[in-house]
Amino acid sequence: MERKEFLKRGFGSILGMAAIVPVLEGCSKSSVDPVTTTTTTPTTSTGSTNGSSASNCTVSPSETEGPFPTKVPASFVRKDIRDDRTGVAFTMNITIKNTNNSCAALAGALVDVWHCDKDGYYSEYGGSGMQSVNFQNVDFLRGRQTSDANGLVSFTSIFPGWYSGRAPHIHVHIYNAAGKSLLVTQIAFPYDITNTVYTTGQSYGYTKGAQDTKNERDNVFSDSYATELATVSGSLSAGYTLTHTIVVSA
Amino acid sequence: MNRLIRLAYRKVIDASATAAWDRTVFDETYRELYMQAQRYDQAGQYQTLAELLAQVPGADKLHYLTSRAAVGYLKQLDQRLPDVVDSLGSRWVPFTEFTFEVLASHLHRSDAHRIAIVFYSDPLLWLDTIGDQLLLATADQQPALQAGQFISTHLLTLDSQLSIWTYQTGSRQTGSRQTGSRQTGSIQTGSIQTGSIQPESYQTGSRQTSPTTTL
Repeated sequence: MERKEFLKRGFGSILGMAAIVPVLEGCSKSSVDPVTTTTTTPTTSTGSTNGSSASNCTVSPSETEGPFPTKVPASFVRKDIRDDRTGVAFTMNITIKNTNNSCAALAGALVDVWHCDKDGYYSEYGGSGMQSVNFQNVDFLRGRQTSDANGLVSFTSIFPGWYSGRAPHIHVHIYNAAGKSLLVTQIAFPYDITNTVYTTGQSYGYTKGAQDTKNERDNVFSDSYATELATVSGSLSAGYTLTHTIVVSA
Repeated sequence: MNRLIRLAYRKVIDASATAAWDRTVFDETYRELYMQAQRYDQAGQYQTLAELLAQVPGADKLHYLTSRAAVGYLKQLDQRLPDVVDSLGSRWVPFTEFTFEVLASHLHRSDAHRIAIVFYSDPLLWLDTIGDQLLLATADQQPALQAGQFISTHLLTLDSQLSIWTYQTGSRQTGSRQTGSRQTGSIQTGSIQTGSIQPESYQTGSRQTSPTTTL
């Protein structure tokens, strides 16, 4: 068949579907708020008008049993956030404490961390652009963990690199168990450690040289980073461990 | 002449969702959007996604950040388009690519949450059109088709949210078509002469391929 002919028919069939559009709009307006469904106010949601007239009479579609979802933690709920990123081994031990409870450990907090790779790049695939269900590595160096009874979350990662205009840092977003934000913050690094990695870690892939911005000149940390500065220990060959406590108001 | 096409299926999920998969994706993406949006508005000034997108630089990343909560459920589709079934009721159209967009949301009212997922099928052979249905086969069967073997086919009706997204004819000469031997569920094309066929589909849509950006 000629394409032209198909297009004619194709558009015809699409126009035929226009009869269904008001129905779809009707559905989308009938908001089913989980809260309001418990009220006694009677509501009517207009369903399909298919079959109401000779011109509105298409064979109802058969429905195969849809895929029944198994509850899965999102792929970023994980301890090892490396994916395919390489670099100096890096462990983060972050303890969350609650200023409203005499600075006791806060258990059950959701903790998001994200940082750049050794070359200074973040994972951000495509915005609203094309994504593939097969890609395993679009979320590199991002993770979420729930704090334990000691308020501790741990992540296995690689030592972050740096990018122009910022001192090296880790982003952290802490939520309560219900997902309400408690704090968005960043963790700063001691300069002697980062300088060692960036100037002597070429064989691990850190080839950009010394960072161009120190904590004192960083627009985020420059006001005061005393409470945002992590303790970092280790070596290139053995890897580094970051230890830091973040206090939130929960 | 058979042609290569890719279908696009746009699935909108909102508070009216009732199917289990739709409902789960709705709930999980709403929760994730709510969580992530707070990072862009720590003072809690804005209520809606539209306000955040208009007022906060970088808030457009919320589409991506929210999509991550859906990916696990997208994988559960086994790379077959949801909802789209052939004339025998089978969900068969293969896909690997999708786009995800939060159409609207409200940080304190889940009933305002609406998302759209556009699924892009893998390349399909468009063999013929019968009535208002397309006779389609997966593109990996092209060599078998050229070798004169039976291939498995599907009849599919286009719908208001299901469209042809890309189209490719392939530069080739077609020989005489043997249509009389068509059998239910398969088509015998032993007499088709095929020339060179480009395996990639012609692509008209815009796509972003940069895997990394700097915040």
